[in-house]
Amino acid sequence: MRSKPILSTQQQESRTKNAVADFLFRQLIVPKVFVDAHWPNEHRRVDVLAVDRSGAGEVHVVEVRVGAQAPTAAGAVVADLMQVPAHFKYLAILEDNNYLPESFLYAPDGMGRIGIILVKEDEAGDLAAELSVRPERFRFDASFKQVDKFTASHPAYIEIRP
Amino acid sequence: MKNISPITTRQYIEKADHFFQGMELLNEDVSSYRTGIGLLAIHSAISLSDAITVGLTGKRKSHQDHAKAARELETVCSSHRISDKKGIAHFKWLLAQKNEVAYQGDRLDDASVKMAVDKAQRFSVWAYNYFKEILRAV
Repeated sequence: MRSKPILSTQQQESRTKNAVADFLFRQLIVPKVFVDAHWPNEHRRVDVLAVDRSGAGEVHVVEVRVGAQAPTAAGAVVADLMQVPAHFKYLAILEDNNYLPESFLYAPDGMGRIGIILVKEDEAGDLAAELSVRPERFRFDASFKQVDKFTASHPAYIEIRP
Repeated sequence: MKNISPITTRQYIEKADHFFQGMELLNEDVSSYRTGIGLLAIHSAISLSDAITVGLTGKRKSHQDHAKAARELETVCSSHRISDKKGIAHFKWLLAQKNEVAYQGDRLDDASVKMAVDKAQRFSVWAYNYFKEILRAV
């Protein structure tokens, strides 16, 4: 029997980002997916950013939390996500700890709900992401000009070429 | 570029989305759905092409001769000085398969199904890149 490798929190976080990037790539329509993206500016970074329809569609952002830091960090992450301009926002967590009250996920004005992506590891050690809480659309506090500038100046981690 | 028929464009984009997402979903099990995948790939491209032409011309399309749709898209590209015609080539390839996929008795092989999905995806990327203003959040 194969023993499970012991990975650092950083390695697990990167694996989770990979699983989430793949999940969004399969869910959306020909998206451009970025990892560790400086969005909406150089001072702010999000774990995974996907722009649907090859850069012409909606903006999806995901923050990933794994390990012991996840339960305590989740509240702060959600508060932080509320400030990031995106049509859809998600918190991705490795394994289901079910520690966040759902009421925390709603935008203060009710326009938008942060989605929850659960990432699970199977017996073989493969990660699979699934939607646990469906996101609701937020007001988009940025311009498509900003989106175009971003997609034109950053290489995508996953995309389909024309 | 200005969209002169945003509501109809939205309707065609919605159709294209349905076909495209159906194609992706069925593509998880090629052996059970190969013909369906092929046909959805072709129709996703036709609807997206219709979204572009209706957005730019305001005219709804009803032609059964889909080769005409490719010619119209080519004309639109020329009038908007779009020199990258890769998308047109993908579209023409898909249209050329329509008769075989829908009406002929031969079974589609795995390579043809894979190619149809690939062409539909690439056509979508090309369309959203060059007709962003027409297809974006209308």
